[in-house]
Amino acid sequence: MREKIVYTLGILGTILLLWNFYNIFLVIPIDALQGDIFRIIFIHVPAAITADTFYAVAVIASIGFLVRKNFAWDSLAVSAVEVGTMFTLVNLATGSIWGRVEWGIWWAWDARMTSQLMLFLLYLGYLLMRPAIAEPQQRGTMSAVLAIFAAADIPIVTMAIRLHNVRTQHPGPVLETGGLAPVYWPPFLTGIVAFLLLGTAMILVRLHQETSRREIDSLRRELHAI
Amino acid sequence: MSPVDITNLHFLFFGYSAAWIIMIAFVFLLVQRGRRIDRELSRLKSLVEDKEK
Amino acid sequence: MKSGLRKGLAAAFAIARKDLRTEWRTRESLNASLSFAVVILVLFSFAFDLDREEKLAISGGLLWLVYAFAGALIVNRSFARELPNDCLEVLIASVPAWAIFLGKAIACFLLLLIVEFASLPIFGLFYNISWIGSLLPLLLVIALATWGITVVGAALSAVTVNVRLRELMLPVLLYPLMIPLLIGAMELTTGLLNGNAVLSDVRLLIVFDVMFTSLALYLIEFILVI
Repeated sequence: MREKIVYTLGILGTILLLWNFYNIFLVIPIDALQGDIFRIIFIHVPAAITADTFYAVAVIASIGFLVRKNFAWDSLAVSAVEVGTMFTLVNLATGSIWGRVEWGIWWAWDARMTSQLMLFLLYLGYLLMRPAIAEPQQRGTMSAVLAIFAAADIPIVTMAIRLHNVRTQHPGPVLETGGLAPVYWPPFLTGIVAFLLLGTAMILVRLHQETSRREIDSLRRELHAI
Repeated sequence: MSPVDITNLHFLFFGYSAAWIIMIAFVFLLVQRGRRIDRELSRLKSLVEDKEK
Repeated sequence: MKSGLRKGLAAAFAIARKDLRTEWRTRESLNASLSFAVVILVLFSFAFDLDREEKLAISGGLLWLVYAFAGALIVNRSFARELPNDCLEVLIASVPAWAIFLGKAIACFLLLLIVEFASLPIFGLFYNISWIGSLLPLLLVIALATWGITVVGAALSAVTVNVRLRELMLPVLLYPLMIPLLIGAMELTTGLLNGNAVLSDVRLLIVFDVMFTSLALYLIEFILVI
């Protein structure tokens, strides 16, 4: 049953993505100013939106674990953080390449990319810390606290970056997505939906692995007891 | 097509490839880890059964 | 309720006094921190060949990098010193978690301030920067930012107290969280040393401090009492 859901989501997401690419490359007329590189927006921004959604899920799951102490919440949190981090990496990579074409440099420290980088670093720390705690209850609690700290940091990071850009007089190039022309909205939204579907499938797979891990732990304990 | 356009397309290709590679690599890691966990699980299950006999 | 608060505060101050007294006996942490700060200041002056204007431009950034590194060393010891002889468990059993945290945060705060004030003249000496002119606003910035560092640092010290590779894990988790605070402190300090500070930027420091102090005080219960 669970496997069926995963496969359905995965295949649906992939088909949607491929159909979207067909649209992106062969149907949509492209911006005369920016040229073809603009098409990267249909991966760059949906990846960020998907990542941010999953991070939000992770924070809610973390709070859920602290309140309920049920390990299902902890599993959801780590799965969401992992998949979210992967999508953030996609966002950073595509953003860097876009920046290389737009401004000639691989990294420009502009506001949006820098806050995505911060998210990446914060939740990378989360993923690095988890293996270092052996006891599951402790691991879940500390990870939850870290996830909440990271989430609380983000609005302040945005404030700080804006401040920094203003003070150092870097008006900061921004990968312009504001004011997306109507003809671009369908593939954009389809991209978001596709990534969300694929991401959810990945999270479900990862969730199942966490459950299996816990089963392994209890079997090990049983083995020692016998 | 002008040389700028061609460079543009090259980078576009790199961009999309980077995205695909990252996603596929992640799925691959996920599947590998899954297999490892399943193997460990079945090994432990059979050990427990053996001990119970 | 009020007597609980008063008792808790008394306990917090007792713990702060204890930490400070223990530290003062050996001065291990202080010495290590201060030496580290001085070494970094020296290293940086070799690393870059700067003229007067450039030195003033990087002054705030350099100072707060040094303070951040020193801070990480100090908070690391904070909860770790309770590990031998199960001191931490005894504390948790007898004192409310928030009081333990507050006491340790205050101790770290004062210790870090000592290191900062000791390295400030050295900084002024090596880089030929006069900080006396804007001393009072500088003190405000130092106080606010140092509190931010110690509050997040002490919280993470509690989180990582039982984590493998704690000395490595703590900085990895701490620095990304502190980045917005450091950005604010750096901008303000550079501004103050150059005479063109925008003091309303302390807003950023205050928001960070308020946000993380309340979060830490609330979550410390989950971190310490498992």
